[in-house]
Amino acid sequence: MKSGKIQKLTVTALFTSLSVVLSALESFLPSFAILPPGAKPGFSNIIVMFSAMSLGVPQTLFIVCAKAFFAFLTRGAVAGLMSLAGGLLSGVCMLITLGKLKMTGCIGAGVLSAVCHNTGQLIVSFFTVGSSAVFGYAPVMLIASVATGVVTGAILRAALPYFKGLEKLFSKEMER
Amino acid sequence: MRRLVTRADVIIITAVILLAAFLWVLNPKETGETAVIRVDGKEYITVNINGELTETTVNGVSIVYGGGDIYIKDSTCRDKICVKAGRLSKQGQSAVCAPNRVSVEIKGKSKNAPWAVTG
Repeated sequence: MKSGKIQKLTVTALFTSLSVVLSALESFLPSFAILPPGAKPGFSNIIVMFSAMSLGVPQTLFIVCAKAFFAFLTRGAVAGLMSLAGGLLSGVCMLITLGKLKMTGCIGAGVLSAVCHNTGQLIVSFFTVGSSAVFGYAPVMLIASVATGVVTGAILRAALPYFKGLEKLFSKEMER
Repeated sequence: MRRLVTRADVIIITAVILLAAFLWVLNPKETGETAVIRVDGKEYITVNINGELTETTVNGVSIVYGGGDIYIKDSTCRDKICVKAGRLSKQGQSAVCAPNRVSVEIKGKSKNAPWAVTG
């Protein structure tokens, strides 16, 4: 029981750092030709999706908040707030769709997660910029979300067997 | 459950694409005459985009207007999404610099129509 908890804590810590590293590395990538300016592939959503599947509610929210805190430290308050809003919205959405309903496949989860993430960011930029002009980006953003969501969803599906190996570590111990 | 694609996924993707198309269609595409430059959400200046070429700098964002369009030439921010938005001339088109809290938007004729504003 005890060691299962520790293993879960370790995996949560590992995934937290993984999501921070992924989002940091991602910002070094040049803008993709097919994507509109400013669009990022959102690899750290993969981590949040897996976390919502098997780690649980507090762990997922912790990962999201830690990532937002990192964005706040490195890129300032507005970026931190955008990351928090986007992360929380997509995190909660993933907890519901992947954790509870279990109806979506990996691709659908990826798309939904990207859409939620971007919507959260758009809402924050609506308040910080104070103009509904930001919603002009909405159609472009939705299409970009489908593209990036399919990619992250496919990566999630490919990585799942390895993640599952990690999951066994703590779920087995928990049963004892 | 952990399949790559389920029926729900197809519905989600279709819905998102339809929503995008819907929002796109609702965008007004008429050429505008004036543009509003906002700082912190408050109107800073309204300019005529058909006049002579003029450059103005607000909050580290340099904006050029005149000759039928308006564009953000340079900004002190990192991502430069606003610069990449390019030249704006159609109603409802906008360029936003979130880090510097500056936005440029072509004004629509009908002020109260929600889509003329959000487009």
